[in-house]
Amino acid sequence: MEEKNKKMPFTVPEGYFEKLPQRINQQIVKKEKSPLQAFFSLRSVRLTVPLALVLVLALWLVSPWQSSLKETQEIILALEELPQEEVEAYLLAEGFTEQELLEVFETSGPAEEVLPKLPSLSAEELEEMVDMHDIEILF
Amino acid sequence: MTKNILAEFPDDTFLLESFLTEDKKHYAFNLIVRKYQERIYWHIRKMVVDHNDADDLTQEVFLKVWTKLADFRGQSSLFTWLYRVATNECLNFLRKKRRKFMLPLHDVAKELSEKIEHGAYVSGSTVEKELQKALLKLPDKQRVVFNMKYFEDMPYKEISEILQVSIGGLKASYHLAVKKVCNYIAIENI
Repeated sequence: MEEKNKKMPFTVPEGYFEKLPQRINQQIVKKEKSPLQAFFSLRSVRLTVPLALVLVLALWLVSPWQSSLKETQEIILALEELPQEEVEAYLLAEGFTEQELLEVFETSGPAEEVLPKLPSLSAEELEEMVDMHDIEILF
Repeated sequence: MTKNILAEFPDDTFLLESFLTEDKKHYAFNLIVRKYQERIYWHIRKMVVDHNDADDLTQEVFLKVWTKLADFRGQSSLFTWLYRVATNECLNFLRKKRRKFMLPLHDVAKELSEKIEHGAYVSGSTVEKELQKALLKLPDKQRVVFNMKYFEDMPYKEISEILQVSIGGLKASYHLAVKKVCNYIAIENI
């Protein structure tokens, strides 16, 4: 481990350190404009992102989520086609009381029948209420 | 040579104060880059070998400095903090490289050895190249210690502040690294 070996075998391109501060500044300007733009201009990111996207796409195409999504949609369609009497009979068999079922059916009408009635307000009054609501959230 | 470059620039306290003043921020940052770019680049280059990787990482280090320097509270010197950021970037880069290709330490060393032999911007004597190749056989953290002590001639106290490791631990790590490197070189030359 002699002194003469302390040199390294590495070099840099001509004028590299003269240009580096300017290149770093360009990165900062880009970053301040858009952090994503600066991120994607890095060489390592430019090389890995396309590969990662291809992998994600390939995984998604062969993934089991695809089939489970289809199955869920089929189950929903099958349930929609069931007669109401069968649904009621099933719910009663599952231990729901008639009173509970009545409450569900009574409150599941069209929205204007179920929701409480709002007092009739003018457009200006409604606008004022919305503005005040935003201010209250901020505080 | 590097120490002369450092003397041309204002001291770190002035640079930090200027950086925190909004209208001098860009000017101060530019001076910080010019003052430390060579030391940071060479510190990184010795670890990652390839010029393009070292170039990328040096830029990332200074981008981090730009975003995080305002939070720097001066618990250590600016120089120590910069070296710590650069060291972490290098170690993360090498860790990710290994994880990405699921390579053991040995294969990454082999890839970097190839770069020492045939890579761009490498033009040293055979002895210098052999030493670099032997260093690649050390664990990354031990290689950082070796580089700082042997090539940069840094005092143990400074290395200890950068790596946040005890001086005793560093001395042991360095002596072990020297021993290993001598053995590797001796084996290669048999």
